[in-house]
Amino acid sequence: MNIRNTAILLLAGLSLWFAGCASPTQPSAMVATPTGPVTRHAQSLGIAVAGGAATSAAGASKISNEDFAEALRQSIAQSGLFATLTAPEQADYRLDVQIVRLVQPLIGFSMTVTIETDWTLTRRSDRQVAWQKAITSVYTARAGEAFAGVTRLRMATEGAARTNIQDAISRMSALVLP
Amino acid sequence: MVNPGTNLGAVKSFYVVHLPRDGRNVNQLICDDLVRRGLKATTGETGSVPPDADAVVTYQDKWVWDITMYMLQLDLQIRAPKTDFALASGQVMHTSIIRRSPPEMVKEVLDQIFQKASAARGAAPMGGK
Repeated sequence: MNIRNTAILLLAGLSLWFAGCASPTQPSAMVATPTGPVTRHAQSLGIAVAGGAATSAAGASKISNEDFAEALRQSIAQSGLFATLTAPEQADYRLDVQIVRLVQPLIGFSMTVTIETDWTLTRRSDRQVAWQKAITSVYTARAGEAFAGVTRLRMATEGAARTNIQDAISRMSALVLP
Repeated sequence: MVNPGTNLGAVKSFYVVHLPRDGRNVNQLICDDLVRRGLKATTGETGSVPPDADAVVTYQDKWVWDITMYMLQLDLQIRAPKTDFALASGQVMHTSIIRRSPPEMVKEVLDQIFQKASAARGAAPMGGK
């Protein structure tokens, strides 16, 4: 194969690679399924998420505060970790999640995304911190999982968030809350 | 991002953790910039955080090639030493046509963080060239 043909193939490949625009992560794809039995806390919980970002069509898929919060709400509701979910200002416990960093690759066949979040569970009545943890999660979307690179990146981002939420639920399940 | 309740003006001693895969000594650039701001800063490996460090600085640098290698993106976090929680974080990105030197990238991200902290609390060290 001569250089010209190789260049054409390479350009065609890159065009296909970049085909499509970035789409935001979907809450339903970030909902975590518990890996083991979950302890049910009798109290109510309110959730607040900060540090997320909106997705622009020209950039990479990001996670908005609202989408992460929705995924977390659904995950906790499905797991039964807390008796009820309500507004943070009305709940027995307030869960604050800060998305510290989202590390995404520029390009690649397998896309590996890292997410780091800070979690703080506070008893609202006396503002006592019941649990605090920085959690870093990694997820790789393999080349065969989606054809377009932007889709694989979104899947890897959603997977990292899902793993992160799963880890947090497991840790909160082990708590004894007064 | 500056965490609510964080007073970076009260942080006087920083320890910059060298990223193991960083062969360009970006940690030293961060350390030098903090010192230029009148702060006490040292740098080293992850297991050597001095007991008197008020904050730990971590970073992730992303480099790409366009005629020459250049720093595309720099993420930086200032953390509480005991909990590893991020007190503040920042990110700068410049593509090839508006590329900046690594010291300029470091200065920009630290300016960004301290400006946000200053706006939030009304006290933060600024300056440095």
